[in-house]
Amino acid sequence: MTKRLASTFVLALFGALAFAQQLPVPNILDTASSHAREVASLFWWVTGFSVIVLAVVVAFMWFGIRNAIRDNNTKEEGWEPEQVHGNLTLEVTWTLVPLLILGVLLVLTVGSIYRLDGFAAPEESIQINVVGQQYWWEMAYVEEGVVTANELVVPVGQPVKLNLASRDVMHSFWVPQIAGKTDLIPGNRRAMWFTADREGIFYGQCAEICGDSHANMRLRIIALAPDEYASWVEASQQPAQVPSNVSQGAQLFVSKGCIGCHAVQGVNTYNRSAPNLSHFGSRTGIAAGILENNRENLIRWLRYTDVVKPGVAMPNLGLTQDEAEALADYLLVLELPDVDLRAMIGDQTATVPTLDTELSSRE
Amino acid sequence: MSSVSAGTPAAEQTKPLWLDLLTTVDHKKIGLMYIVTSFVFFALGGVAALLIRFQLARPNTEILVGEFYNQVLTMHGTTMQFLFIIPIAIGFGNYFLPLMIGARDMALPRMNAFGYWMYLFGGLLLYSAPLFGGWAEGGWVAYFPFSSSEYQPNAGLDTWILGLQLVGFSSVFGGINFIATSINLRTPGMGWRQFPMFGWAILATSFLSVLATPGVTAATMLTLLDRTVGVSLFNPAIGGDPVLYQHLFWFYSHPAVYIMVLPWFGIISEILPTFTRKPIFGYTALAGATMGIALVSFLVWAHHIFTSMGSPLLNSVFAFTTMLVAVPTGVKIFNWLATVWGGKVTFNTAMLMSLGFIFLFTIGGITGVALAIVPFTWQMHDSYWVVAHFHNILIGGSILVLMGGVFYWFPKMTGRFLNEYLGKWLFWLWFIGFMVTYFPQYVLGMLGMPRRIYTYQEGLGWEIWNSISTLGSIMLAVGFLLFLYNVAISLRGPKTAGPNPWDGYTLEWATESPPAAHNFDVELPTEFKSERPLYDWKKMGLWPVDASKKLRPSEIHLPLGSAWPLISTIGLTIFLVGLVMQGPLWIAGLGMTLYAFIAWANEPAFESDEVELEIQHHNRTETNNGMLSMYWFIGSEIALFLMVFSGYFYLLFSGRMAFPAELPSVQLALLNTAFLVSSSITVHVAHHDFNHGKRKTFLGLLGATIGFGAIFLGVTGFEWAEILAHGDPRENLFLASFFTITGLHGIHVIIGLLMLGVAFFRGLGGAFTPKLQNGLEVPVAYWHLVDAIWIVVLLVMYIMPNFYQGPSNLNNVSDPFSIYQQNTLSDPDASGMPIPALPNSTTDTVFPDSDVAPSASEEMIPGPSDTSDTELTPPDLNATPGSRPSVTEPGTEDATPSVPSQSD
Repeated sequence: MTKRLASTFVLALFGALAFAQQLPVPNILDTASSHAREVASLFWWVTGFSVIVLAVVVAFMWFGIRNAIRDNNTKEEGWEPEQVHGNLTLEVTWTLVPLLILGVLLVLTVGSIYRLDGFAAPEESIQINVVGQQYWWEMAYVEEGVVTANELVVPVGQPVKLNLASRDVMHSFWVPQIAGKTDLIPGNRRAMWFTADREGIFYGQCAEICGDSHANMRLRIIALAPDEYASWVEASQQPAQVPSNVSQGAQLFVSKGCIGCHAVQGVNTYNRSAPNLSHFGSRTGIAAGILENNRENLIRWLRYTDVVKPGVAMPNLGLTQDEAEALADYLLVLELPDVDLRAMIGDQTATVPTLDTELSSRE
Repeated sequence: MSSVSAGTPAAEQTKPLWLDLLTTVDHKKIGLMYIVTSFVFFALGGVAALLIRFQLARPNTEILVGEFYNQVLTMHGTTMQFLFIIPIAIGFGNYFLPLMIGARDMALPRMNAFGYWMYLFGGLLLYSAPLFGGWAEGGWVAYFPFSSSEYQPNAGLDTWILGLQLVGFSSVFGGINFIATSINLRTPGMGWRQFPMFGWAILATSFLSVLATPGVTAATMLTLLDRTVGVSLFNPAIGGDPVLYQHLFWFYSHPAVYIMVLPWFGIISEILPTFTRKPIFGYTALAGATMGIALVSFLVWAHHIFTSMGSPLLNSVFAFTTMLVAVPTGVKIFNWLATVWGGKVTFNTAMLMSLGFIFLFTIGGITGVALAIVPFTWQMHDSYWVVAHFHNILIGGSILVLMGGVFYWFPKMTGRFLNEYLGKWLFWLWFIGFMVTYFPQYVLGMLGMPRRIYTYQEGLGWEIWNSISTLGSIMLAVGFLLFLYNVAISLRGPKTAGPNPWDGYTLEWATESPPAAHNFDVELPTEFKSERPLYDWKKMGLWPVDASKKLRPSEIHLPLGSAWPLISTIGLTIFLVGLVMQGPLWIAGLGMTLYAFIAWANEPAFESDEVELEIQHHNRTETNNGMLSMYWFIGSEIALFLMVFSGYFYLLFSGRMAFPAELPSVQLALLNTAFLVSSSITVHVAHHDFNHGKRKTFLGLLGATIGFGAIFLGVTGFEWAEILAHGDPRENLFLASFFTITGLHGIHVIIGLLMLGVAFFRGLGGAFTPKLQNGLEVPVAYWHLVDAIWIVVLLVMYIMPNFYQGPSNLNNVSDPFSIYQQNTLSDPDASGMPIPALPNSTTDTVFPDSDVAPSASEEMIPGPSDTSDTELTPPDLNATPGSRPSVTEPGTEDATPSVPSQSD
């Protein structure tokens, strides 16, 4: 009876973990990079030992309780248990055995710490500078001369090194399927590196409380096949092709003052105070990834900025519906020339989180 | 105001309850006040927790949004830790430690009351923040720079910091008191090997409180300094480091984790023997493990900042120390299990809570080991996995045993039993409710849900787990309401418990239930064989003691009640509110505090000096309670200075320190040293003369000491003015450190002078005798501390900078973001190519290296700006370098984006 219970317990634990690995949603065991894979293997090591330790404790307790219940039922009322004060052998055992287990874990841990250290990234890594700001991420490809925001595009199979810094408060860069967190700290430089090992779109977000919209400071890593990545880089270096039928929006972009903070290649120069919109139409998300990028969401964002994202630096410009539509039409044609990023991501878009229903119902 | 309370039980009853509580120094009343107040705060923190859970139950909920959510979560964390789980342990310690070691009260009864009042008013101050602009936002950790006035300008965070100081002092004084009580007031015959397990737990907790609290004091006070006067060790713009805040903060807050669990380790170690009818298994191992945990907990703080440090070496070292904690913790768990093994177990609520604790705490412990695996922590840090982990420790661990303790000791505290049937409901609701609430949060962490977010998207798979978790939190809340109901109906019932309802083994069961004001009616036997005196005495036929040996009331002396602890706390609170409001109120508060302190010093602690001497005579050591406490307080002060000096050295060795052209004058400092050293000599001789009856020279030398101290302050003031005329501590990191450290020392000089001043006037009035001279020797000891610290200040802040200025002397550590500004349009050299200038540093050694100092910023700007071919550098740059983009008038042709002609 008790044996079966104990084994059921252990099985259930393993079952739960196996289940977690098979969950239909992104998680840290459903890895997409070298870094995350190494951490997942550490997880299995420590979980293995943990289950053993927990099983020992539970068995010790279980049999202790079972015996106590049996004694309560069978022994005479006034019995006194044996007055045991301790046992040196046992004390030494349960000091040394954990030490041994911890020794194994420590060796594994230290090895991983040094392998995954951001400053130990391979020479050939793609260098990307990531700067956190309330509440968005600036991402600048050092060699390629590309600046984007909130969506990191990386190639599969090539190491990527992220240089991390913050412009205001602390932030923390976390995309669970790709790598653990590294904090972005004002006055400090941190780094992390990884090699994406499969294509896909991977979600993450800021993990260090940074203000009112900490929850709304999200990001994505889009991993592409190497040739697709190369064409993305090339396209990102060119200005968008803007048709003339959006000139009303283009004018609003200037007259409403968007241009004071945002940059569009060919119009003005990027000044780092807000995301570069040069290829905005090809991004998958808006407002640091809290909304999917489509016309309806964009209009909502332009009109109800501070409601969608409390505390955001972008002011509510008081646009009319018509103005917002015109501006949205302009922004959405700012696409990467000759490259269809969405097609490259492919059916991955099917797993893109759905719309923010609350917001749509508010209008 | 003369002291109102007399020591006899009869006099106690003549006072109305409210007045009695305001002036009481009875450790049991104070303990109960702690416990009740803590539960009130627990309820408030619980309401905050429920609000958070309701907000997160479904995606895109709008109960708490943005700022308000952040405030509520800050108050939840702050309340549960600083106003509930830590003080309630002090409450239990207050009530039971003196009883368990056969004492009549704590070593410093009035200080004990002072501690409670500071805790209460600190809590009220924390909660009053909306009056000053709103609660703090940054979570209970209040990381810099989010906590700077730039990002949280309202005074709510100042209130938070100052409220925390009061609570912190309360915990330090509580700790000192417990240590002095344990050392001095154990009943004759009780050696350390017979010291109760709960005593060991409280003692270890107290060491942590006394020696670690300065960490959070330093961290938060330095933040306050940054917020109010702009002098900062953290400000990156002058080379300061926000990571330093984290080190200081966690130097306290990791040991604080053990302050939050060790007391409950002690209580379970009392519950298990009683309800298994066995001695605790491995007394020595358990006591040793308790102390071992306390010791190791000083060495693991940085595992809270594995994602911040960026140093593989430090990460590895702290992974090692963190894993070490698991060993003594494991020893504890196995010893508890071995205690249960073969026992005659009573499965009542207290026992169930303890067993539930062992199971849940084990899970919390092994998830803690997982968090020592640094790369795994990178994944799980600040995620819901961590939230689940520490709630596993604090709810599954601490609070279950806390409830067990309440059920175990309720009969002792009230003379009545709690209802066992409702108790078992409570246990199962909490045990299952706990798992329903927190196990899904482990999953959520693995699914990538960070903590402290107020909302989340649909489609990430988080909804179902969050909803389950919220259901569990409702179970926990229902359990608590059931507990309150249980207490309410139990208090109406008759007193049926009797002195020893559980047949317990320790000395609290040798008193009435509830115990009389004087605790013990008889002189306790002095034969101690083990940690179970009552068990041993019964076997030896020493217990119960013959009723004819009952002590007469005239043989029992209790400390007198006092209103001054309360009045001085009110003064302090007014002072702090004045600081928050930056108005003249602080002067009134300070005056009131000083007046109350002086009146307190003049008020006798016992009916007469003879009584006090007799009580003192019973101490277990030669050192009296006042001095013993002072030594530990000095330890705490040294820890505070160590914190600040460590901060200075951290910045110095990491190459961040920037020195001004003109260093503070060594000559002036040496002159000042002469004054201070002289004062140490005069005060020493004064004390010596007093002990040898030379009253006149004693007073003269004491006056000279005060004079030297005053001159020292005057010279310091002159020096400050000189330095301020040449440099701005807000702009230079060394000057910021200099003013912080000399300022902190100056405050200590002032406090020392005030203490000496009071001693002087009391000495004039002949208040001291060679045998009773606490009011003299305590200030003298403190003054020696002030002098000794000055020597370190002299060496580190005056002399050392002339010889050593850090690994790379960067006198011009500029704003690390100056690179940033150079890269904006105003910098022609950047060609408008806005690449963040992040160095490809591979040299992040133990401390962040000189990479903050872009001495050669051109080299550090990687990327196309290095290349001559500007055509390779999109985004396209039409705008004229050197000017911000001009927003041209709408309608003009220039404003229209250049539209390629290929369209249409």
